[in-house]
Amino acid sequence: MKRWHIITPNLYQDVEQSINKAYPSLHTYIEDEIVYIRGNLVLWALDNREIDHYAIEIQLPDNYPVGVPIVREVGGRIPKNSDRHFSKVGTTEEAACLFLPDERFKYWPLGATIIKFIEGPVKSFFLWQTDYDLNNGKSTFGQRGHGINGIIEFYSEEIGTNDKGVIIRFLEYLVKNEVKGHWLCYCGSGEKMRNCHFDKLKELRAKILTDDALKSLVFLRK
Amino acid sequence: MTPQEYLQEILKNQTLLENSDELKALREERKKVEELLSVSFQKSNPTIRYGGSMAKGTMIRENYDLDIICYFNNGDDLAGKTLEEIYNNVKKILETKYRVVTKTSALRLENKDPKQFGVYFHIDVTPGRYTDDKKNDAFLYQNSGKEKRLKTNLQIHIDLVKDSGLIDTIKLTKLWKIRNGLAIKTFALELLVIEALKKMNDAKGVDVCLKKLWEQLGGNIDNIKIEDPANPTGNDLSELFNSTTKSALSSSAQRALASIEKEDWVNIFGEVDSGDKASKIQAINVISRSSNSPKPWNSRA
Repeated sequence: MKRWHIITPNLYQDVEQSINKAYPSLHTYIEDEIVYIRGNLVLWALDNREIDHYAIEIQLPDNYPVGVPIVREVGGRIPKNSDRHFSKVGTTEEAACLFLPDERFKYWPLGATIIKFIEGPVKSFFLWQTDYDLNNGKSTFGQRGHGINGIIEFYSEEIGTNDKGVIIRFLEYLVKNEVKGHWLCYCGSGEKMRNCHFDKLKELRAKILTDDALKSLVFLRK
Repeated sequence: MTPQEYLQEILKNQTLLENSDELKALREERKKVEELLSVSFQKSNPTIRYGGSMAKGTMIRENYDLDIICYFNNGDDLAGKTLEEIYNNVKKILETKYRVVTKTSALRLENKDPKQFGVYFHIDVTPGRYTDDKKNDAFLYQNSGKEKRLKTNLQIHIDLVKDSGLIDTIKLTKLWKIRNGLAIKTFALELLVIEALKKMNDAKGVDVCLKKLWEQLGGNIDNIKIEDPANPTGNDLSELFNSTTKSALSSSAQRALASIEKEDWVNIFGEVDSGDKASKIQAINVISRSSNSPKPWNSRA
């Protein structure tokens, strides 16, 4: 299989040039046909004072820019455990869990650039880590609950209930190829969806990737 | 503050004091490592000593590793017949107390406590075997690259750096490397500084030395050749100093020179005092209130 940077050399060039320009302390490498961005990520305060910095590695996936890059802290500074929001990728590596994949549309929607990814989710994640250290294990940024709790939190914010059964029904509709207005609403009101919460379903079907929703559905059904 | 004064302040901040918590912790851990290896390889009586920046006097707070060498006597097969066996046997012993991450020739120690998983102890152990009874040159195992064996001489490396008169320039260059995310190995960077600054030393001013270094890297990098003083003809350093590394060094050097032109050394090495804990927390609070920041999640319950 040809890698994305070979199929779309212009996109690779764009990634390399934009990183060079926006982040001179980050560098682009190709190793074993995989594209990595590595270096020193500096976290700046709004008044341009340096807050902190981290040695990081960003691995661009084979299906970039659709797939979300894998982010690692490589300076050996942050414990790689679930409290610090790291989880296993493959067999040994620990990667940063920047956000719940279902809410990607808020922070790095499809079509957004690598710079937007670093400026948004990556910087926020490492600010969270610094905040956690400075505040003895708390962060003002907040965090999603681990596992299933985080999924329920997100969907309850979106559809207004934390009823697991309703969220599962919602996700079942969300992952279908097609949905019809005359179906009974997922909320359990007994109304047809077109007279109830059809707009919300259509809105989130347009925003949440089916694969991500499907993974959450499997998680909730466990 | 003059550039020289500013750089001296940066160096002061980067110095790990003898009674600092970091050095105390390193020394305590070193004792444990030494004891573990000495007891486990009692019959071999290996030479265990400091290598790297601790021995050279170039350690900086920003990124400090304690390098420990564990060299077995020439002709001693108890720890392993081959270099690979020695490497793996030392690894096996260290794994009884640490999580061990393999590097090219060294073994990096990490805490076994799952809560501290992924946090470095800042200790690397390099096993090897002396080439003869004089105990100067040693062979190291290399688990990557074409050559499986590397001939080296720790004392030659230490003496070269210590006698260079460029200790402060090397420390600042290491800091510059980290701040710019440059992927060159420290060993190669030290050789590069010494090669590029022949006939210069810290006494001429570290600002003068750094400027000269960056001029060389920014405009003349292809003409700088480095070789391993411990084995000039035998150890090929071309991969440590390849075209990707050269290009990154060169462009970072050019940016540093542009900052100096504007008398902006702070842009290169940062503030002398980067702020106290309270002001950092406040700065983070301001960002968290002003931005739509994602909340980190974890798939593990």
